[in-house]
Amino acid sequence: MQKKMNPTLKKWLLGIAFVMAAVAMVVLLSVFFNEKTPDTDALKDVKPYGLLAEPDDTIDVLIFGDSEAFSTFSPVQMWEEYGFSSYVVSSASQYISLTDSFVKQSLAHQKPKVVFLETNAMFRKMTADKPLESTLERIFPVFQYHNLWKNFDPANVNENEDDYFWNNALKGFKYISIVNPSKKKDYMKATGKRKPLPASNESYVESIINTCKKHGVEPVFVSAPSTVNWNYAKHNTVTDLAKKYGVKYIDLNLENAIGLDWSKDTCDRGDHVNYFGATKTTAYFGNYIKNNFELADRRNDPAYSEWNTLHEKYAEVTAGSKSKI
Amino acid sequence: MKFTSYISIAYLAIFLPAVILLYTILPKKVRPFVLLAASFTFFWFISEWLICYILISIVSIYLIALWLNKLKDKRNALVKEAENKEQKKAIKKKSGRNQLLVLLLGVLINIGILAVIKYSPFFFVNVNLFLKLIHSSARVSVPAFAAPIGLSFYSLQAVSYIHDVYKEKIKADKNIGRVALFMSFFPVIMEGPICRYADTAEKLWSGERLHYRNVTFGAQRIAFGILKKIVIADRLNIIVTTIFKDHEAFNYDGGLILLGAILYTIELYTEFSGTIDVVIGSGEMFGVTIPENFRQPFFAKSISEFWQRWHITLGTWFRDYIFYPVTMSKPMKKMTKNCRKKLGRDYGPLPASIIAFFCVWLCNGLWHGAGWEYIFFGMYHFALISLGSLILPLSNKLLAKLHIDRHKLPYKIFTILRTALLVCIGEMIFNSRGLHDALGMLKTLFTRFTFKSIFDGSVLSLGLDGHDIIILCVTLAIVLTVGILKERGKDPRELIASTPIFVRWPIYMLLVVYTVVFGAYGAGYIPIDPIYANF
Amino acid sequence: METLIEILEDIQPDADYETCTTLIDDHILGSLQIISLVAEIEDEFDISIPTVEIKPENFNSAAALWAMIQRLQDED
Repeated sequence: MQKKMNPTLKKWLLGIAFVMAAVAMVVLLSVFFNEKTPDTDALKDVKPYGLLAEPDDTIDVLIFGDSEAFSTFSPVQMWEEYGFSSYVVSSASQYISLTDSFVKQSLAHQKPKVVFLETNAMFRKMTADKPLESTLERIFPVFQYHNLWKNFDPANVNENEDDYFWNNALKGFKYISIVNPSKKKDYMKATGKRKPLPASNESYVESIINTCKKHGVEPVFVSAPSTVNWNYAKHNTVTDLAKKYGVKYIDLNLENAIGLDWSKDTCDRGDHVNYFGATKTTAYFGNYIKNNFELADRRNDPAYSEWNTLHEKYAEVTAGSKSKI
Repeated sequence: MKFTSYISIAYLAIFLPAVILLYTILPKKVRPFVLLAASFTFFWFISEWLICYILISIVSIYLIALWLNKLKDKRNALVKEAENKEQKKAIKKKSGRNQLLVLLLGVLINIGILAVIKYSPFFFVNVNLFLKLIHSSARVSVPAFAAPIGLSFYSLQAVSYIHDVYKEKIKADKNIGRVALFMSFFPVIMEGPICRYADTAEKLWSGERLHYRNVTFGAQRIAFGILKKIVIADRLNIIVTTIFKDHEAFNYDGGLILLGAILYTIELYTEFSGTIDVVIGSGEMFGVTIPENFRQPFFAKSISEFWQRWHITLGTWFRDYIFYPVTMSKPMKKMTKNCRKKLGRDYGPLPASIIAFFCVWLCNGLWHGAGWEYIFFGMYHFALISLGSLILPLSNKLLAKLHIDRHKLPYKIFTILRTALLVCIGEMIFNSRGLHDALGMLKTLFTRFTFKSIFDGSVLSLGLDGHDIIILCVTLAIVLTVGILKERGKDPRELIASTPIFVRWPIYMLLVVYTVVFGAYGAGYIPIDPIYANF
Repeated sequence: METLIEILEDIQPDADYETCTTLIDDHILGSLQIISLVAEIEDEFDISIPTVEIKPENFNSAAALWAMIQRLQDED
């Protein structure tokens, strides 16, 4: 006769069984929530995965970063003025570990000429959780794509116009028209000081550079204008980094030719540029790209006819220069 | 490694399981040291060298308590030898004075550290403002100190320990390890609850083995806390931040400001109580009963009842160590007696209580932060509670005249809603960017109140879409249901645990799936930093 | 004991002090009433109630209060 199992042991085993069942559940969820979900069209509505909705190998220039990136660079304007396609892959307060994931993911679908890395996120201090999160997201895609639940009802897709524009028609750019002036003028005083990168952030920068090189894409650092977030000590650090890894670096804070007027061109006292500041900066930046990288003018390419219709939506969104509320 | 929150992968998936594992495999005698080592490690991860401050506090209260004990032993010996009542009284009086001095020394050390680190910058900034006001060109330099995490919480625990020894509620502990663990136990160090030595110390040091029920119930409580925080609080954070940051630039109307105040209050509640669920759940796993910090606060029928249900351990700390000592001091008792003769039953105790309320709420405001908006927050509640006590006799008469029964449901609902509204306005002051901002929001609330932006859909442009709103409503309904059950004296965990496994497991599994899918985390969401950890 | 009941009734009239054992738990006596109560009891019975004694166990019923009063009288 078999001995009966110790009841305490049985309880603990049941508990462990539940934990295993929960893990199995997460794996199962990952089957539904991942980037290969048949309905990839749904992805365009989920910030900042809009790039995944673009046809493969159609984007010439990719720009990665945090809110500095999406408030400063306007792909539609660059298309109109210079004729190359671009996309801003960024999210608010983005951590550099997340940027690393986005670069890997994006380059699996796109083969751009150049990848710009906005430098503000390099200085964002990470908690122990950030690398752990990235790892978990890689193992269980549901942690990265869980927000797809919003698109499971096709009737509601693109119900929110803001989201629609933000992810698709504006190609990652965020239109902000408020004016909230900055009093800081000489925030870029030259100094020999260096602001060190937070621990382990450099390894992610290195990983991003390596990913780009592996795909045969040139990585370039770019610093968006911001009187709050940028200064010369950070400029020096990034200059050193650029030298170390043999990467080009353009600091738009030092390009006076842009002609930014901080009493009008910022939406939050110098933290970010607004639409007016973005227009000036994008014009300058687009010209820089055109002159430094050999990009074809695609405005007459029939494969890009959709890009030629974007200005209508763009004009519609940017028409109201006053706030909505 | 750096922790910023209990609701993080580093704590939940690595630190806590590692401590549990070590705790299980090591023998009973070593277990308290596992907890102590884990607590110090945890503190080191967050604050590094600032750990010195808590070490100073631990050693100081340990020694002060022993010193008090010695004085008491000496007194008892002398009293035994004394010949008559007069002598006994004299001995007691003398010893009492010495004990009080020793207690004050202990309070001075612990509150002194807190005051210097937390309040001296605020103090000196205001000195400079004053100097500017009187057109003096002199300026003092404003010092800046790095504060160890949990300073505001463990300092109060330290004071309660020596005070309770002084009052002979507890005996001074000869084991410094137990005192250290009581002060630094890792689940409570960041955001409380503020524990009392008599409640937790013994259990913490017992090295009790893990029980299946404790571990699973603890885990369930942790899971529910995570749900509240990442499904509700982190989702609300988007819209709340927008309203509080942009209300001036966009000229929001009073309706939106009120919405912001309500949503912020919900965010604060789900964030704080969610974290406390994780804290209490963590303690429960080790068999330690950490005192509850919330008891369905939004069912409160008055502001003073609200504070008996919200951040309970802070409220009882102020009650036991400020309110009663002030009202029960000799001159105050005398005043109460006189006032009762002159003012009658209803108003007699009021003068003493109002003085005590003032002390409590000034301290409460300052405890939350060194800034005028926090003092304003404290004074707001002081005014409400004092007014409440003043008009209670009148309102009782009025209700009697109108034949309204206080215990009838409609009146109850009215008082609950009124209290919630007043609380929301208080929390709005609390979350403002300063006194000026708080007054500006209050002005808008009263002068430009319309529901226009709520009904014309512009509320949808503040960062939440229809999907988010549905999830918020569903999740809040779940939290409300749990609250109603608890209010009726039923423990939802017990109810679920008593069902058969094929009912129970799907419920737990649903909880996991719900949190994973509907949590507001990942790219595009900015999780809130623990709000209370900065106090 | 009768004097105590009288004091209690004077402070908060509507409660049955002979039987009720949840004066604090059911919020029949709030902090204001406790302040009055302590002042009156000290006066009436010529004792001093230290703050440690102000805990629910001592104030939940008239009987508990009475026990506390007698204990404090003996100690003096």
